[in-house]
Parts: sequence; C-alpha cells; structure tokens
Amino acid sequence: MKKKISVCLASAILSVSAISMQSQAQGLDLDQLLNLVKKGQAQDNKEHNARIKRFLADKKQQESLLLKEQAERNRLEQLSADKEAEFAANETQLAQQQERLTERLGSLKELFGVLQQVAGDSKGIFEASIISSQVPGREQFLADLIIKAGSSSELPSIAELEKLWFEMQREMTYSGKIARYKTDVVLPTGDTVAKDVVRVGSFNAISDGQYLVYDFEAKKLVELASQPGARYNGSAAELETATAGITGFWIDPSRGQLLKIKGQSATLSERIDQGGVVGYIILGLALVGILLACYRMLVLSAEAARIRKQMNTEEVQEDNVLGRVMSVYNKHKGTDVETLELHLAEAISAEIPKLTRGINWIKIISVVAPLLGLLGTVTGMIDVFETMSLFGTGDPKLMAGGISQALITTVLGLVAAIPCVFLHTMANNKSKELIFVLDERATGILARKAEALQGVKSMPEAA
Amino acid sequence: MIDALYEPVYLFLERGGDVLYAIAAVIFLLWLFILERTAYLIFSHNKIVDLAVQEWETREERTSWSAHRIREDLISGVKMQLESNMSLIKMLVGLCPLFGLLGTVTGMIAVFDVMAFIGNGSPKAMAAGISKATIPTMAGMVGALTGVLGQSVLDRYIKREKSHIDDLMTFDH
Repeated sequence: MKKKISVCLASAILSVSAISMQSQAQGLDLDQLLNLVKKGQAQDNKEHNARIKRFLADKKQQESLLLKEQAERNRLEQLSADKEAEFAANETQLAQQQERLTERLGSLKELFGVLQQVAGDSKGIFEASIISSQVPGREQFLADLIIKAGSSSELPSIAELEKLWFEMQREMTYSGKIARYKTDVVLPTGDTVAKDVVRVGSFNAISDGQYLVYDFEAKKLVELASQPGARYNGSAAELETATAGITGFWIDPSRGQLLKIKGQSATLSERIDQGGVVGYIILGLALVGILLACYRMLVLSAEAARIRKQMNTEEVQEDNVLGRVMSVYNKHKGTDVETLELHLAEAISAEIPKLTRGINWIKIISVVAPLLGLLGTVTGMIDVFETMSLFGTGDPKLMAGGISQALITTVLGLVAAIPCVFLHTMANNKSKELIFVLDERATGILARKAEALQGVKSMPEAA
Repeated sequence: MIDALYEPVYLFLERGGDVLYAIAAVIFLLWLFILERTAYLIFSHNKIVDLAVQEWETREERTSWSAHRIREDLISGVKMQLESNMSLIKMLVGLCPLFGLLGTVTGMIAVFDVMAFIGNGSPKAMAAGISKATIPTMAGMVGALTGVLGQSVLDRYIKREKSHIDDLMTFDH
C-alpha cells in the first residue's frame, strides 16, 4: 500500500517538470536564436582584432620597463652583499668585545653567578616564610636583583649586595624569635581584618588563640577554618597573653601542613555517616542492647532488694521469687520430705526463666554487632574494588576514601560490642546471683526459719 | 625526676592514641579485681570457712532434712563468696583484645585519612597512624595475657578450695 503511494507521487513530479521544459522551448523562436549567434560572432571578431592591436603597441613599453627593473634588482643584490659583509664584521667585533668583557670581569663573573643563585634560593625561602607577613616587599627586591645579576648590561651595586646579606641575616634572626605585630589576617568568612599577631619563629603564627597559616600567593596570613582543638589552642592563647616567663606552646614544625591535615580529619557525625546503612543498623542494635541491659539490671536490682527484705522477715510476701518459694513450702509443710523436695524444685524451676529473661538477647547483640561491622567492611571493600576497576589503582586518594569508609563499620561494630559485652556480664552476674540464691540457698533459708520456729538450738547465721 | 620517669609513658600514650586510655582503664580494673580476689583469699576466706564450719560443728544433730539443707546453704554461701567477681575478671580479659582491635581499626582509618590527603608518597606521615594501629593491639594483648595468667592461677586455687569445703563439713563424726 505504502509503496504504491510513493510510486504515484514520483510519477506526478516527473510529469510536472516535463511540462515546464516544453513551455520554455516554445518561448524562444529558433530562427531568432540563430540570428543572435551570428551577430555575436561578428562582434567578438571585432573586439579580438582591437585587442591584438593594443597589445602590440604595449609590447615596446613593457620591454623598456623590464630593463629598468633588472637594473634595480642588480643594485639591490649588491646592497645585500654589502650588508652581509658588514654583519659578519660586526659579529666578530661582538665576539671580541664579549671576550674582553669576560676577561675584565674575571672572578666577578663567577660571583654574579653565585649571587643569582643565592638570590633565587632566598626568594623561594622568603616567599614561603611566615616572616614575610611581618616584613613585606622582600621578594620584589630579590626579583630585581636576580634580573640585574643575570643581565650583562648592568652590574649590582655594593649596597644591593649588602642588602641581600642583611635580608638573609634578618630571616635567620627573626626565625629564632617570638614577635608580636599588627598585620592583615584573612578570616574564614573571607573578610580581611587588621589584627595583633604573635609569630613563633618561622613556624607558626597565632592571633586570638587561633592558628594562622601563611598563604604565599595572597601574601597574607589566613586563619585556619578548622582549628586543631582546645588542647592546642589553649596553649596558643596562653602564649599570647603571656608577658614574661616560659609557657608551653605547640609548634607545627612543618610550618602549617600538619595543622591543615588535622583540620581535615572528619568530625564524629561525619564519621558515623560514612558507615552508611550498616552503620546505622549497628548503632540501632547497640542502643537496643544497652537499653535492654539497663532495664534488666533495674528489674533484677529491685528483685534482689525484695529478696533481701524477704530473708530478714518472717511473714511471706508474694512479690518476690523467694517469697513464692516459701509460700509453696508453707503449703506443703505437712507432707513427707520427698514430696516437699519435688514441690520446691518445681517452684524454683518455674521462677528461673523470669530471672534470665532478655539477657541472652544482649549476648546475641554483642556477637551480631561485630559481624555486621565485618559485613559493612566487606561491602565497603567491594565499593573500593569497583572504583579500582573504573579508575585503576593509580590514585591512592580515590581508594583511601573508600577504605576508611569500610573500616568505620568495623569500628562501629566494636563500639557496639564492647558495652554490650560489659552490660551482658553485669546483668548475667546479677541474674546468676539471684538464681544461685534461689537454687542453692532457698531451701537452706527455709530450713533455718523452720528450726528457729520449732525452737531447735542453732548458732547465729554466718556473716 | 618524676617528669623524667613520666616522659616515656607520656610518649607511649601519645603514640598509641586515645584507645590506650581505655585499655589502661580495663587493665587497671582487671588487676584491681584480681588483687581484690587475692586479698579475699588471703585475709577473709579462711575466717568465713571457719565460721561456716563452726556453725555446722556446733549443731546438735546433723542428719535431718533441714540439717542437710542448712549444710548445703553454708557450702553455697562460701562458694558464692569465692566465685564473686571471677566472671568480671573473665569479661575484662576478653575486653582487652577487643579494645586492641578497636585501636587497630581507628589507627588504620588515620593511615587512610593521611593517604587520602597527601597520597601514599609519604611513609613518615603515615607512621603516626600505623603506631596508633599497632601499639593498642600490643597493649591489649599484653593486658589480656597478664590477666589470663592471674585469672587461671585464681581459678585453680578456687577450684581446690571448693572441694576442700565439701570435705570439711562431714555428716557425722
């Protein structure tokens, strides 16, 4: 169906173009065309002859022009040769003069080489040095000196040489001192404020108890956005307020690098967040375990208090396990010994589950939490290997991030397990103690009370 | 003098990181309980046994049902006192390596943090994290080993004492 339509369309287009050609042919008469061609031919011939005539007339003129140009060319070639000779002569003269200069500079040339090198080294040191915040503008002087020492047209003056010496000496002297001065400090908010700064040698600068680092591109002191913490900042504030004597102070010998690294370490909540879903599950479990343990401890402590009270009174209270066992004894006092034993054993074993309830769950949590941590570690490592398969092993930074994430879940597992183990032991001890009282001592207590009632002579209880 | 003695301890704690404080606390508690048990065994245990034996010996009759129950009660009371805190000691011995492992993992995290920040070209920068990883492990192990030693000596002694009490309280002479 579709094919048929397209064929129809094609044939319609063809027929239209055929009709238009026909109409053009009819518009121009053939005889008229013939006349036109003939007329055109005659005109062309006429123009052709005129052009030939004109060309022949010009030819002579062209020849004279050619001669003139050739003469000009010869003259210029001569000139070029002259100049080349002059250039060569100058070259030799230049070499001679250079040689003379070297000869006359003698050992000075070596000196300027050393000067340039020393100035370059000092410039590098000064640029990175925190002392530049106190003494600005040293680098510009050094940059000028380097250019001067390197150029052959100008010689550094004695004053400049002495200034280099002075600057180097000043850097050394200042690096051994603690100085206080006012300078611009860039705050973490981006504002620049003039502040009193205390500089400790060439290592650290502090202001208002906050550590600063020197940004040599901006040539300004910058306050670290994340400070290393109260332990270090406290001594910094102490140093600032000190007027005399000796105070302790934390120096970063890497001139700010370690402080920056310390600031980079993640906060606790960031760390927990790194653990991902598994981390939150572990923390939830830990919370359940701790709450359950605390609840059981409270219940067992209350029970222990009631049992202690029961031990000291004659009347039987039904609110504690020992009291319930005693009431069973009272009920079956008249029966024979074996039946009594059976009834007591039954009553005791009925009470034991009440004391151990929930404690195994704490144990389970303390075992499951590290296992979940391990699970998180393994899934984290799978992520790391996926990154490795995508980006290769070339960038340790890329992998290190994933690995520290993987380890976080292990940490969380352990952090959950440790208090759970601890609390499980506590709760377990408590419940075991009560079971012990019930299992081994309840009958003894009953026997004592019975004997006391019957007036059988017996020694006071052991302490 | 004291400063000079404290210096290596301080350096050790600084290198090992915060987990060492937890391990130190656990080891301190562990040995506190072990010493408590030792002190009990040396000073109080014999008196308590004597009291119990005296109560048993001064009884008029030692054959009735209630007499048997009271004997069991006396023995159990002594055994309970003997065994108290032993499970705490066991738990603390178990906690030592756990804390050591915690230190290892946090130390490794520190190492990988350094790697993420400056790459793995600087073993010196990583050394701090590595010592944070290894020192707590060692400390935990040492704590657990000494604890196991103390605990097993106590365990043996307590076992012997328990059977000794059973022998002391004879039914008839």
